[in-house]
Amino acid sequence: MLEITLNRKKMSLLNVRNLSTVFETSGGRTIHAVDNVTFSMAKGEIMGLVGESGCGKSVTALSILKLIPNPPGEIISGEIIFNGVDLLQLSESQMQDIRGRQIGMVFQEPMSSLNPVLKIGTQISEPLTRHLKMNKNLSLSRSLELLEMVGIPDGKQRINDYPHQFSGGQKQRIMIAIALACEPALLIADEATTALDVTVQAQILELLKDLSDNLGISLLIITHNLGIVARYAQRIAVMYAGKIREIGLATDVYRAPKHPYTAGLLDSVPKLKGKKLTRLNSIAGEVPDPTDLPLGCAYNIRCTKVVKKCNTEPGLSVHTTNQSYACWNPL
Amino acid sequence: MITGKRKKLLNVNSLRVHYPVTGGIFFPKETGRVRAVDGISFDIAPGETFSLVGESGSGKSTVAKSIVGLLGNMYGDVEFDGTNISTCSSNELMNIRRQIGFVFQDPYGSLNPRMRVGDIIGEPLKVHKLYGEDEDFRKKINDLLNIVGLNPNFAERFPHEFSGGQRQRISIARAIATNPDLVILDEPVSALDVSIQAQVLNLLIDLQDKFNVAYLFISHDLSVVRHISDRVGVMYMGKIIELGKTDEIFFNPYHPYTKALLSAIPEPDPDVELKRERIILSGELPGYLNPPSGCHFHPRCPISTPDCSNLRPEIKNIHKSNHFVACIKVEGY
Repeated sequence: MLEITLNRKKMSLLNVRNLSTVFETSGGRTIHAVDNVTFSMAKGEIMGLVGESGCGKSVTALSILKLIPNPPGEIISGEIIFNGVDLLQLSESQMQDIRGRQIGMVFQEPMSSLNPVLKIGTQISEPLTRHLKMNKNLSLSRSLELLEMVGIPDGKQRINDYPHQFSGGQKQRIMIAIALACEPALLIADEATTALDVTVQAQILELLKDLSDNLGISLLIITHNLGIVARYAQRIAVMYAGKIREIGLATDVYRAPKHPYTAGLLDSVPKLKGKKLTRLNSIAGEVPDPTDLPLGCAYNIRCTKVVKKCNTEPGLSVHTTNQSYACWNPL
Repeated sequence: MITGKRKKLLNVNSLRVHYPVTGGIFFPKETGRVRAVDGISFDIAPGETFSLVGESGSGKSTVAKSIVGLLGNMYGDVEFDGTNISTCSSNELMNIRRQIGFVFQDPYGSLNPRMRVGDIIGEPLKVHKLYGEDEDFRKKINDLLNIVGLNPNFAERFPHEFSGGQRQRISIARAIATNPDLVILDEPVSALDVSIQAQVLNLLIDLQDKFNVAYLFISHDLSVVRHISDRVGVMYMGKIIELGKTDEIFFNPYHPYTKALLSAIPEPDPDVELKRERIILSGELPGYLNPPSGCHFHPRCPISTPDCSNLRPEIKNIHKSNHFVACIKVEGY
């Protein structure tokens, strides 16, 4: 893990720099869903992107794949360097060669992400024939391999089944099989296990981790669950109101969060181990309206450590080589 | 069965909810049964929090709904404060429903979008004819909004103007409007973000301190359950497979399913996670129409033996410690 951080510059697979994505509302207001976001991922690394609903996690993922619906959304600035190429400079047809080939994505809803009228065999072999130009026989045998890899038994029979014949966990496995069909360098899992039961969630996450270990795939786990990130990710980025507020090695950030929001988030989660608290230290107030953010740091209305300077926007400052935060009055 | 010499507010004894499955168009015949809840027993003392945990489809919500008589196809005994709800008169049932509040999971679906917040909260008061005078009624609504931490001016607004956390506070205000002795909370914080979830949990704990209300808390989230409960029952396929004091269940679990469930939950602490033993269960919840023979958990169980597919374990008090478990592999069972 240490090696990965040291060699980050050399081996970085994805470099997102100053990414900003906005949405126009019907009322003519602008929502800065992703605001000046910068982070990088190394080859084979697992990174967790966490935050509460509406903080911009999913929009970040969709921006990387250039899947932002325009209008109302638009990527207004930044660079997304993937394997040395700026994705924002590519045409739509060039992007289509990257999506599913080099970057795979698994979405939250396994029920609605699969086409209900196509056999799952057809859906798994689609990227194989589209990207790798495999013929029918080859793609069939590769599909069977993939089904086995994601742990669906009796592949030969099940390949002719339709999505409704599978359970929620199995559908998510099929989504992973499709996303991994062409062995992408990066897999984005956007709340991929949120809709599943905990025992099935553990199965799917273990599967993703094994695949990342064995195939060297980088994994961007987008979740609101801080436990999942603690268990599986090497690095963590915490988002709030469109900005990354803290980023670094997961062990460092969890042990000693610098940003009050990260600390508040960690305190809000009831724990399974340790002493039982009578009350949780919750964060006061709610996430501000994205069309009407407070001046300066958007967390200042909920923050307990607010100082005068907080009505101006803090940039990311480096705490150690492994941890940065955006706060004027850190912990 | 699960009784001590405790004072009981709610006593549920061998509760079963079975749904017939019929086949045939002209002369439908019963072809099978879905045993959504299959013989469960527990009790709740005044002011206590009892939680039912389990994965989706384990029957938790069905238990909650049948206690207030919202479901048919129900067998067994549910006694509230000494009155049996399946045999009592409709007047008595009405009286019982006044003493039981209900908070549902979905903060968006459970509030009528066309009613003002004040009317939503006041509806149980009107149904039970508790506040006749307009002034008293309005004062009571103001009090309730204050208690759940909302501005009394919100009474004139509509649900769509509120966030998920605020809506859940409105639901809680409605549930406690009639000063109930028991509030059933069916996944009350599952739809909320963590920071808001913590606020609502704190509110629930404060209300319990203030009004000594008992909670039946239904959730799939074990860390939330540990935080709020005095006692916990773990459900699997319509049965309670382990029941005991919260600390017993979390630090000394007996049943292999409870152990697996606990190990499946990632803790937000990498130091804990690195050291932890993980039990990854194979497979998923089997179908209810053809449940596995014997112990329903045996096809997924890491320690099952051939006996487990033959014997159906009943829940038993282990070592007379009021820690109940249904597993033949547990020492002392």
